[in-house]
Order: sequence, then structure tokens, then C-alpha cells
Amino acid sequence: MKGVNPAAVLAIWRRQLGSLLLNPLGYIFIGVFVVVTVGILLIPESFFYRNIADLGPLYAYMPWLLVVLLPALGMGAWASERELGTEEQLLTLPLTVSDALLGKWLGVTAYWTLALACSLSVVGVLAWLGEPDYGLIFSNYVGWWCAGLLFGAASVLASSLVGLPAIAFVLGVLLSASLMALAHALDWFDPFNRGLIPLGRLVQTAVAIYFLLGAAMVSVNARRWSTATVPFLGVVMTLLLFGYCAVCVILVLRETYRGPLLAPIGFVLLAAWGLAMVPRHLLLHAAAFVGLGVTLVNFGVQSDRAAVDWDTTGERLSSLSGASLDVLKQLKRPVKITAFISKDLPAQARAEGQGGREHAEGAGP
Amino acid sequence: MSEASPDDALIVAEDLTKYYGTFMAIEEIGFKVKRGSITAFLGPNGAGKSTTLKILTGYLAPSAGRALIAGHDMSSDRLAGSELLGYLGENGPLYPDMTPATYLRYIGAVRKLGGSKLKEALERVLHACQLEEVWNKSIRKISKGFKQRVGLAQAMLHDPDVLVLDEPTAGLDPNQILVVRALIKDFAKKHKAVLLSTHILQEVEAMADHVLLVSEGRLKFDGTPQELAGSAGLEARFRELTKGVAA
Repeated sequence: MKGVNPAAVLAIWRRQLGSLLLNPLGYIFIGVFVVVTVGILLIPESFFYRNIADLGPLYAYMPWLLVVLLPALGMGAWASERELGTEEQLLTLPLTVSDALLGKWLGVTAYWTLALACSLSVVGVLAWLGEPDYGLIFSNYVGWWCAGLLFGAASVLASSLVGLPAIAFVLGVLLSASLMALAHALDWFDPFNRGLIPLGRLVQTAVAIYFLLGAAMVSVNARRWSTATVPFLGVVMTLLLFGYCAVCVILVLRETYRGPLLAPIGFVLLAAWGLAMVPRHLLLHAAAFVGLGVTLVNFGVQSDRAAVDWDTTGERLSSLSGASLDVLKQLKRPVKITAFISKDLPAQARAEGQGGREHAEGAGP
Repeated sequence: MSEASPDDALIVAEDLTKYYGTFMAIEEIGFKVKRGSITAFLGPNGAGKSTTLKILTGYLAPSAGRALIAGHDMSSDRLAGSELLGYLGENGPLYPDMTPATYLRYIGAVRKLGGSKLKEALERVLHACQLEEVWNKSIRKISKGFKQRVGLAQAMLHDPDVLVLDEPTAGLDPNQILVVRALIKDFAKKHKAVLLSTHILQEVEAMADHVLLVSEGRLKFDGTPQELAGSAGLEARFRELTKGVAA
């Protein structure tokens, strides 16, 4: 299997980042992003009534903002190459499609990181208004950064599927929104919002990016490798395979995975996909790609189950001390937690407290 | 996978066939281009010239047959072949937001040219392609002739052994055509191979020492321009072999 060509990846990265930085729309993007972030944070009902110097009001909105913003950054990554007719020229250079896609995704990622860094001005506002927990803010930012990397990869995939950046944008938003809906259903951002950086979720992000960019690679190569009938078959096979993967991911995360039933279906789908999409001399590459993917998924699931989390909050709010853990280990009965909510709090904060009570009851012993 | 090319042929097409679905674009096209040769790939529009070139550069995979560049199979060993290949696509596509200087540096970086090697290469193509006037201008704002020369500079930057050019003089004015022709001839003199597609007969007379004539996806002639012209002349023979397919 051909390795990554770092010189080519670096050159493509610089080109992609350069095209974003040279485009005046890029600065409008950063400006809008910062203004919207500060605007949402400082909505009086959600920020001042709570009387807490944190990024709480952004928790619900920020990921959905990224669903729209990242596709705007990534839409031209591949579609503009096809629009300009430079794709063919690019792929006669000594680089692989995966080198090119990786470089382009890294370019989008670098620009996204820059935009996120500019939004750190909200932390200045928090510091001015109160005494924020910087560890908690750090974990919030790590969560959003990961989401941005993921949606960036979804946007690069969308961009590789269609020849026009505008359509790639719409498709990128749809893809990212689907991922966001999945994340929402799984409470994916919850640990980050509680000041935790869970290794399992970082690995999950990496796995998802790996598969999204892999799908983009297949989509670009399918047009080159195949005759016109096969890309259609390929698209159907790829959608089937992705549907299967999505079902598996949901079942695994909900711990109701039915291995004996799903594994043979997956094997058949994967074999059919490989035969339809991949020329014979590349089947070994495809097998290596899938093998590495499965290993990464396994690592992600294991680290998630092992709960390898890093608590970044100043007072270790999301962790139990060693002594508490020792006490809990010795308990034989379910634990009853009693929480007191002050009546002096604003209505919204009281409602949040009620929500917390239900959460604790739902969690069980 | 690398193997010695017979007869010192730098470009080898072995029975190339390409189907798009049920549509046959080319069928069993086979030829060789030797060192030092400028070979014209002649044919009417839609004859399968671009498809053949795209297979030779490794951009498209053939439905059957093999394409070799300097002995490297472009389906299974494209990276090694592309190190030795310079390619100019149809209409010389470029990035309008770059300048010739930034574009060529970018291509140089992808081709792992750095430091003094890159500087040397840039200076060579800057003079050869006469790009001084537009070197730091936005590609969006330069003329078609200059764009074509930037595309050629890109193809020649790494001093490849093989040059594949898809309609390199299309859309240029007579003066620009002369400049581009001179560039290509100079290149071939360095014991390298050039394959250029065209549907213009004058192009063949002015540059090529060998002609491949393709029509309706099949190779109809493989020989020298003199052999093709015979006593009837190039134009009459072209019409005869392409059976009146619109040029």
C-alpha cells in the first residue's frame, strides 16, 4: 500500500488554506462567526439570568452553527477543481487521491481552527463579567473543534460527490446535519459541556473523519476507474454500506449490538461493495483501509466503554475523589442523591435544576 | 511494476479500449512514441483523442489494454510514471486566483522540487515560455496565449521525459501558435517524447515527425506525415480516412 506523500499533502494544504485566506468571503465568514457566537452567548434570557460566567448559552446553538459554516468552508475543496477543469491536471501529478483529499481537509481544518481561535474573544467577555472556569471552556472548545473537523470532512465528501460548489454546500449541510442529529440523539456533546474530554469521543471523531475522507476517495476514484454504469451501482452500494455502518454505530453506542445477526450482512455488503467499486489490483489497498477502519472503531468503542476521561474543570466537578470512590465501592444498595434548588434562582435556572433531578433519577444507582 | 520498453518507446498504448457504459469511446488502440519524436494524435472532434490521452496519463483506467509511460503501467503504477510525465489538459485549466509564479511553485512543491532545484526549474520555464511579463499577475487577468504557456511551463517544470499535450495550440492567435510550436520542438530535441492531440492538419505538417490518425474510436493510420499525405495530400487523405466525420 502506498503511504502518504507528505510533500504533496503539505503543498495541497497550503494551496487550500491560501485560497480560503485570499478570498475576501473568508474574512466575512470569520467576522459573521465571531459576531454570531458573541450574540448568542449574550442573549439576556440565557446568559444574564443564569448569572454564571460560562459558555452555557452556546451549547445548544454552536454545533448547529457549525453545520452551516463548515460546508461553506469545504464546499469548494474538490468541486472547484472539477468546475475549473483542474482535477485531471491535479491527478496527473505524482500524488494519490488520498494525498490530495487529506491536504484539502487539513486546509479547511486550519482555517476552521483560525476562525475558532478568533471566537476566543468571547472568553475575554466572560473574564470581564465574572470568573469563568477556564478548564470547562477548554473542554467546550475541544468538543466544538472536533465537531468542526468532522463536519469539515463531511463537507469535503460532499464536495467530492458533485461538480458545483453551491450544490456541494447544500449536500454538505445535509450530511453535517445528519451527523449532528446522530450526535444529538447520543448526547455526544454532553461530556464536553461538563468539562470532560473523553478519549472515546476523540477516537470516534477520528474514525468518522477517516471513513468520510475514505468515502470521498472512493467517490473521486469511482469516476476514474469505472465505466458509466458502475458509478451508479457504486453509489447505491456505498449508500447501503453507510446505512449499515450507521445502524451498527447506533446499536454499538446504545450497547444493543447484535453481532451474530449484523456481522454476516456487513461482510456480504462489504464484499459486494469492494467488487463493484475497486479494481482488482487495488483490492488489497481496500482491504487494508477497511481493516484499519475496523481496528479504529474497536479502539473507539473500547475507550468509550472504559470511560477514559480527562476532567478539565478547575474543581474537578465531574470527578469523584478517590475516597468517594472507595466508599461507593463498598455500598451494596442503590444510592439516593438529594439535591436542593434555591427558590431565589430565576425561573429558567430552576427549570434546569428540575432537569438535573430527572437526569439523576434516570441514571439509577 | 516497471519493465523495459521495447525500441526505446517512452509511450506505449497496448490495445486500449474504453467503454462509458455501453458507449464505446475507443477500441483496441495501440501505438508507440519513441524518444526524440513529436507524434501528432490526429482526428476529428469526438474521435476518442482526449479519452486516449486521459488513459495514458493514468487519469482514467482503460476497460481493457495497457498504457505505459517509460515502462510504468499507468493503471497500477501511476505515481512512478507521473514523475516522468508532463501533461497539459484540454484548454489548459489553471487556478484563476493564483499568479504564474505561485502556481508553478505549487506544482514544484507537489513534485518535490525544493530549494535550488525549484529555483533553477522556475528560471528555466520562465525564460523558455517567456512568462516574464505576467509572472506576478493574476492568472484571471492574463491572455489565453499566456495561460497556455503557463500550462506548458507546468508540464515542463520537472524536465520530464514525456510530454502529453491535449490540443496545445487551440484558441491561440498565429503569433502565439508559433511560440508554442517552437517550445514543443525545442523540448523534443532533448531526446524526449512528445504526443500532442490535434484536429488541425497544419499542426501536423508544422511539427510532427509521426502521425496517428484516429476516427470513431479506432486507429486508422500510424506512420509519417509524408506517408499519410501520399500523392493525394493530407486534407484529402484525412477526409477519406475519417469518412467525412465533421472535423
